[in-house]
Amino acid sequence: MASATLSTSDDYDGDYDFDDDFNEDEENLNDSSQTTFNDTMDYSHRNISTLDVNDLFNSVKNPNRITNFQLNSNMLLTVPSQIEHFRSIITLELSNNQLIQLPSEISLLENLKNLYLKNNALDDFSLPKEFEQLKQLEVINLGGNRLKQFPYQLFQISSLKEIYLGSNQITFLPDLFQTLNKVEILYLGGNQIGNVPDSIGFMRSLVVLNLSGNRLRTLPRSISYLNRLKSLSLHNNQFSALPPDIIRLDLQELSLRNNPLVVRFVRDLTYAVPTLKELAARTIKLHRVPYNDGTLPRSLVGYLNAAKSCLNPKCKGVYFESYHKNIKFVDFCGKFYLPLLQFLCSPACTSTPTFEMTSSDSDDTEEIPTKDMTNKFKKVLLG
Amino acid sequence: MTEILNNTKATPVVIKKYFDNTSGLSTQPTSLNELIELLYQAFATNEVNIDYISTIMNNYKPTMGEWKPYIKFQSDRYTRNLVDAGNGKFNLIILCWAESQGSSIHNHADAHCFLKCLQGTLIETKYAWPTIDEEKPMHILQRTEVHEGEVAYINDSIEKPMHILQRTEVHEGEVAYINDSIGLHRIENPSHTETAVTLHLYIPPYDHCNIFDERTSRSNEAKVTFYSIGGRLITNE
Repeated sequence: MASATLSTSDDYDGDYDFDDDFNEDEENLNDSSQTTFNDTMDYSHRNISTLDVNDLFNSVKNPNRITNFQLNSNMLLTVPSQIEHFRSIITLELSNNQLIQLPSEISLLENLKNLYLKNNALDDFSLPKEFEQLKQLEVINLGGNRLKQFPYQLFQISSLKEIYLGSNQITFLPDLFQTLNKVEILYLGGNQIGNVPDSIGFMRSLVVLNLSGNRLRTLPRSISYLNRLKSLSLHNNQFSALPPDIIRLDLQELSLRNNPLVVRFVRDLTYAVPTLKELAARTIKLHRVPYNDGTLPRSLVGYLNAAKSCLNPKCKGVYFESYHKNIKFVDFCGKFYLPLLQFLCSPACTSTPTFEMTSSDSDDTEEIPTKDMTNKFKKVLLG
Repeated sequence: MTEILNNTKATPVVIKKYFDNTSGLSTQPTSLNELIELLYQAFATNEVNIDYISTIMNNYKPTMGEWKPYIKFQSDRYTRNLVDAGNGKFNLIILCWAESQGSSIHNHADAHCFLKCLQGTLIETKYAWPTIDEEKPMHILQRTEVHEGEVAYINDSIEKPMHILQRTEVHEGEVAYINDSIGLHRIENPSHTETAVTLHLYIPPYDHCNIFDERTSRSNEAKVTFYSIGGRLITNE
């Protein structure tokens, strides 16, 4: 896989089997001296459809030295449960097989850090429930399988650093991503995801987020909390505008091609007239009428606390469900205009704010994106 | 067909009608080193036989082992890895595209560009150069009031979406060709599970080009940089 950190360059050792160029003499499975080199067992590209693990285990001189087991590009339907005998395995390469199921014994591989399962026939029932016991797992590649859901077991493995789920059939992401606080790369491209949950914003180690080739129209505002994010891939989606918080990120790469981004200035998008409840709540917040659990029902206290500030920097107004969507074109470092969607408390709140801010109000308002933040964007791959 | 390279410092040579310096050369390079050697010989004078170059690029059968020092993937963008600087007459470059990575729409600074797919599949989308319609009445984009204290901004760019000429797949072993008279293009790796590697030959080399916004046809100048040269990473920025 491509390397996690942006500055180093590990040699890519996934798809290329350079060994193919060197091992040209005939080998048979029992002749372990040619297929075992130090700590690696390479049984890739051999048309294997069944694996006799006991045989392999007995034929290897030091089975406990094996840390790297390559079984990619074969015809395996399952992995035998005896795989647990190779307790020292750190990397298990099972990509490009026909796997339908993984045995629960896989969870006994207590040293397993890298598990490659790309291009198999795995579905939502294929990972055993014991899978979450792999508490040192760092990299998992489940690209090119038949998953319709994000595998729930992954949320329990907080050691994860890289998750690849490209080209599956995932439509929905559960709101549980806050547990994945060590993940640096999350690849979700080529699925059918319609919505990104708020908890994505709490993946504080995230450096690379790929959401390309999905059905996204919007991003949660929490995306602006990802202060380590350097690469955001949003191409091939349904974005017509982006949330303004995106300007707070320190991105180096942003891809936006093939989205129906608006070309011209668009004013007056939909505006739903506020309910009486909202109007009353707005007044309470604006005039700072005190309230608490003792004076109001808890549900109303919750509602009042959920007020969002109008994004017009000069306005101190708030809104709840009723807001006006306005598209503002932002120039990144003199490059291309990007339409950013802003939420205003009313359609009239543009150059003249609905509720003028005074200097004493500034403590309560949201941080306003400044020109310095716009200069942080270095490259925008719109073209 | 031959043409004279006009970017070299030496004075141009008179075209000798019946002499073709590639006529004795092999057309089937079997290794990377042989490909490079043939390129140097083809570029020995200031004439270049583009048909010959096209032939050897198509016929060259790569073995992935030879390319290993130049194969370097990054998780945020594709990498450009210089293999040979061709005495300033050509650049031979390996580009590594991780899953879903793509380029911006760009031109080729009056150079020839050959692109051979070594691994995976690429999609090449060709675009027409942005034009100014001279025969239609003027179209009002917007009419706004500018009040005291407000600032308006304008520039000369043409705000019209770019026109796609063609969209093709480039499979392993296939060669694509482009130059500025044909149009502009974008290259992307459409796969979400497989990486792709391409071999590029630019004649002559260039270090600046223009990149274009598909939505508006606006363009900006961009510097073209290398991630590695001769297999060694370049530390810049």
